[in-house]
Amino acid sequence: MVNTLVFYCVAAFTVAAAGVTAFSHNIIRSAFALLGALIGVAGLFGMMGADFLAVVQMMVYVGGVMVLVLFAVMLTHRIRDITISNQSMNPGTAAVIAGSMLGLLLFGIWRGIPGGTQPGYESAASLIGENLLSAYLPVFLLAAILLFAVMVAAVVIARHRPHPKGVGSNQGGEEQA
Amino acid sequence: MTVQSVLSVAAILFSLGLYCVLTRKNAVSVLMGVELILNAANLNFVAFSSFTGTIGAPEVAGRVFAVMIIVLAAAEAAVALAIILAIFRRMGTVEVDNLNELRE
Repeated sequence: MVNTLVFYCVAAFTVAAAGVTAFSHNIIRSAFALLGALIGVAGLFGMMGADFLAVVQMMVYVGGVMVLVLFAVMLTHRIRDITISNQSMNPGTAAVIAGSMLGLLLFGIWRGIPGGTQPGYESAASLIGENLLSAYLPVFLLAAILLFAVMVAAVVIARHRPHPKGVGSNQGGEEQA
Repeated sequence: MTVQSVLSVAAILFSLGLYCVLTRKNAVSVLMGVELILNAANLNFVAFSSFTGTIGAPEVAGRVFAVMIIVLAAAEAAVALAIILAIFRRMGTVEVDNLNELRE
């Protein structure tokens, strides 16, 4: 009973935060609402017994990705136009597409899936660890290689390079081949 | 708390993310919509993992998939934001309907 009540509170918080992310006209507000939605999803993970995933979600998304997003927002915006910084286009068409998608999904979920109740709280952290290092070892190693490539690529792409047409802007930096 | 209720939350998150991706002019906002969609997918994986296993032995494949999706989302966000920063430095804007050429 209490479990259900807490679930509905967390779900409502998550959906409300996602709604602010999708509909706010202020991009800073949108970014912080995304933070709330990610925390809400971490809460839902915890309520479903996926405690390891909840911690990973908090560390990677809330700690890492959100900082990146906020940096990007603040580095690519002029603060004077912040109240209209998050403009939308074609809201009607997009609402029709997203709304019909939602209707289809909800219809399928409530008609096509046999109802199930949760088999109780369980911590699968040790199971995840064992599987990552045995059955899913190739995927694990591929993810490691991908993360290394991404780290190098992000630094190379975001590095400040002098503008090729700029006047006197090529001091202290060699042009990349 | 049934599997349908969790999946419904995921469906709503997905639709809001889709709306965000379809309407936003700002590239960073489009990326936020993509993050919402990835979170909805993750929620589905964890829901099916939790609600189809037995006590003490959940379907661990769903959890592993979710971990991998989180890794991919972090990688995608890092590279995409680096690209957005580079575009802003070059073109002076990150509005997706103004970005229609690969070089100025």
